[in-house]
Amino acid sequence: MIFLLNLVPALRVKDVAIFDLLEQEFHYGEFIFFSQLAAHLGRIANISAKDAKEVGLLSELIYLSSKIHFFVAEKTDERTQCSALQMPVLIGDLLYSRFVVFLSEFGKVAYLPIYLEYLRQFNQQRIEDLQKQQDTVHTEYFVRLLSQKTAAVVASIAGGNGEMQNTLQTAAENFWQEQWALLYGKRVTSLADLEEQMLAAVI
Amino acid sequence: MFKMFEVHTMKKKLAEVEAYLEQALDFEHPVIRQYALDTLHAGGKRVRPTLSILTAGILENEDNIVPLAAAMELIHMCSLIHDDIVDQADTRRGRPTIQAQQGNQFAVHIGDYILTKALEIIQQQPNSQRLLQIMGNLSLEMCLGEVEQLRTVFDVGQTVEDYNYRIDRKTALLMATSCQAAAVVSNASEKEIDIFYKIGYNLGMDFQIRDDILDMEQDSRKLGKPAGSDLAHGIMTLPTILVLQKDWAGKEELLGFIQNRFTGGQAEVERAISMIIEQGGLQEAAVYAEGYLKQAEVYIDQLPEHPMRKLFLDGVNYLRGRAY
Repeated sequence: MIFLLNLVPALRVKDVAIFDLLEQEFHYGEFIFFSQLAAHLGRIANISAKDAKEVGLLSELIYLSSKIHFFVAEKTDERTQCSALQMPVLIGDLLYSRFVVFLSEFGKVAYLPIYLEYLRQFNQQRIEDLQKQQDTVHTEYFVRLLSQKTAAVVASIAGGNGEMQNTLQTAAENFWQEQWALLYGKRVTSLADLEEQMLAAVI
Repeated sequence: MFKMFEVHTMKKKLAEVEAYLEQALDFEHPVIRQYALDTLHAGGKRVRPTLSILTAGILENEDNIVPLAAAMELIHMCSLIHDDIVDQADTRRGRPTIQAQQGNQFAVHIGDYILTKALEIIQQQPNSQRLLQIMGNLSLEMCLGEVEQLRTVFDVGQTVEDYNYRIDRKTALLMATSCQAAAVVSNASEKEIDIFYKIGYNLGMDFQIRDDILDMEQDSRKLGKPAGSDLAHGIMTLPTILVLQKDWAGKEELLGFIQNRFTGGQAEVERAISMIIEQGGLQEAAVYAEGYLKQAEVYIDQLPEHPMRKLFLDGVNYLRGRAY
């Protein structure tokens, strides 16, 4: 279960703690969801703990990036308040970049198309929503979508056939239904707090 | 067989990049396609693809440089779309920005969507694992530069080193990477990759300093954005920093304008620019820019003999005389 701690150093870039730059409130507790999901799927597919840990981190980063961009503010009235609008754009990009670096360092470039498919679907749907002034994309939409893509990555690593893919897709959906609400309710206010909650989860 | 890779070949390759970009951005989704192609058609100097093509030309690689050069331009496009949100810019290259037309959220997702295309292209290139690592780190540093810029708006205590940190990440690294990545896909030696990186880096530093000079020197019609817009937004560029480092009568007035965030509006911004010009800020900044160009020339001299090397030097001279 120590894999859960992987996200904490990933959220620190040089001397900058990404969490500390965000002024908006997020339900940070959910950020361990994808690590847990990848570990669960990894056990079913019988891939190594290292692979599962890496997939979990990649999904966490891309999820976090999507979510932060999803919540970019539309308007600020005062120049002094601009950082509340600007920081999320940059932090989302920063996490996106971090994802690409880790993908490369983990030697998992071959799975990039699966993640890109997630990003295309998510961004396209979001753009459509904004154009039509509707609201079909919400947290549940992209968590479920990314859960399915995470299952696809794990299936690819396992070299599984269609049956394996179906099994993992179903497992991902079930895991989401069982775990999401539990994690989403948890609040984390800082990087240190996140670390503490992750440790508590491990114990 | 040795292939001559001269000016007409360069132009031909750039035309191929343009065609590749048109195709890459011809997305199925009509709204995304419209905004992506509008951004492409807004123009731009295509400096980054040019650097990639020049590098590959010297390394005798004509085979796979067009997609990579296009990907470099796409990364640049994404960064501009997101920068326009961060800067709350209304216009870019004389046209309304995406965020000005459709809002911040719309623009951020268009930028992200285009970035997926850039990554898809890069993933299909030789040495893609290394390329993605380079691109990821580049993007990370670019973000950190922007974060630093946000943290330091209207901070009159900034030094030349602080400024270098920001423009290194804002501009120079992408130009350095345009050369470096082209060298990597061309299977260059590590020494060659390093030389190309340094050429791109020094050209990039010069490019941004001159951009910052032009921001104060030119009228808004030529710039495609309001003159002095960086200063108005509290971004301390080299001419301002150099002038503020000196003691002179009237310095307190300039400090007051900046620290009070130009409460008097555009008239105060224009007065501040006049003061910076009168105090020699632009000329002194130009000396710094020239230093980077000279450094670039030193590294260009280390490249192997090749007709394309002359084009690199022509590029240096173009930057030296750049008026917009």
